[in-house]
Amino acid sequence: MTNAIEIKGLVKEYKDFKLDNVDLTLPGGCILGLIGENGAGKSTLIKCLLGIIHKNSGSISILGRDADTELADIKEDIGVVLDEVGIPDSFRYKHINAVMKNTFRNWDEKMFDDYMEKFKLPKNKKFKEFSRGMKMKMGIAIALSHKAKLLVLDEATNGLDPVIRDEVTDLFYEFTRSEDHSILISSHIVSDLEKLCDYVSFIHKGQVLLNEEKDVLLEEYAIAHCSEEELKELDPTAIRGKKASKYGVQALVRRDAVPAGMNLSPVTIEELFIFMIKEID
Amino acid sequence: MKGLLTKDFLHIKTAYLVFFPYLLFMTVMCAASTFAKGNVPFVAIPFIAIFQSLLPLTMIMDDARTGFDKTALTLPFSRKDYIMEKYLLTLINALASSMLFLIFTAGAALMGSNSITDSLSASLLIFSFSMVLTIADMPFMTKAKTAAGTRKVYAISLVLYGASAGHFMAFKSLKDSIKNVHIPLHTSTVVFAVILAASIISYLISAAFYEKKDI
Repeated sequence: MTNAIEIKGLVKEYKDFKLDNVDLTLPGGCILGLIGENGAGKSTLIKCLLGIIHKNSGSISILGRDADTELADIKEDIGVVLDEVGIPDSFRYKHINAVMKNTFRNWDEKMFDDYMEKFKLPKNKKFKEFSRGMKMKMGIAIALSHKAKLLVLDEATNGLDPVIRDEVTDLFYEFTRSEDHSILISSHIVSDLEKLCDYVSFIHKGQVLLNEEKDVLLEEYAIAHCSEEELKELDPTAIRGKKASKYGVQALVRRDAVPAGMNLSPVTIEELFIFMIKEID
Repeated sequence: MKGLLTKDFLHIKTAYLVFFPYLLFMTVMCAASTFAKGNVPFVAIPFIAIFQSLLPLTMIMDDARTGFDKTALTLPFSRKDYIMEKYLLTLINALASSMLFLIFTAGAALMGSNSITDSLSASLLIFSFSMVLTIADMPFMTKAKTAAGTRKVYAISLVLYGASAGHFMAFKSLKDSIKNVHIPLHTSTVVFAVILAASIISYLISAAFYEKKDI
């Protein structure tokens, strides 16, 4: 199956920030979570992908097509939710529906209507009267109503209460049941991504630290609970980060490189991310 | 393109509908004056055209404020489509207001057994004036890096336009000199042609700026 997204050597340079030589692959039919703290470069990466900002160098292919030459056409098959949903303040449901009907070849009014019901969005309220959570839900409803093959979601679950966030997560999961559907989702709320993603990509200070299958990562790494002395005896390349406290040391280690019998506990994606970032900083 | 035009027309309908009663009122007043005095009041043209001319710029400014400019680039449109649509909106708007003016004032002229040549001339000028702000401002608005930047360009042009119109109204001698101004059809046709050519150049510049811009 074709990769949904393939980014190679992407560079975007600002005065005080650089997205540095980013390589990223989202296999078709999968969900990739882009994890990073605020300002790490997640939104910059997504904006480059969508052509909202220009890259300095590198190549991007989306759904097997070159984004430099075919981007406008490719977007027929992409549903996007950015961190701010940009809709005119005076618009109501019927106006948004009319615009999208004249925009997307595959716009499905019935589906849009169903999402309005599902998200309990008021049809007669102006967009400016919506809460942030309602705006995000409207963005998600639009993204899901034109039979997209790829969803690109930048902090799309921000502002949603936990119940709705859970429902939305299920919707995204449902979306990828079809094997040609893929999702790129960025968030700094790692717990959201942890249950949803097949692949995770850590981004920190403009650099991709890793891009790996989630289950492989969880299998490969563990948290070792030991003393400083025990840690010193380990192969230094096996340690990806550590945290000392008065009760001892917690270290992120590669399972295959520690001796049998060492006290290990499973690692979460959030812990993996925090340990790696702290090690670098 | 159709989606973008739909968005702008609905945006105008839902947020700026007040522009149209004004246009209609001014047009009716001009028609009444044409009927009563037998000649078209050319002096009213800039005042009729100003709001029509501002509408596309208002759309650009609002797009930057609400973030629709970003949304547009997540939809299946190119940057050129986005700019082209604003010029198309200007053109449709200019055409509609000049046609409305022509119908009313020509009707009034015919009712008073006068020639409709002046109505034609004035309508061509309304078309031209309705395009002028877009032509002049669009390259600056597309070059502006932030929403605040587009607002600044909009405000400056509004002040300049208002100041130049107010200038004529403020001084009695100038007011009297333009009160009975008459612009022949051939002059209006030349202005119209120049404006059309200028709008093509303006579009090319704006599209080039927008193509390079990080939104």
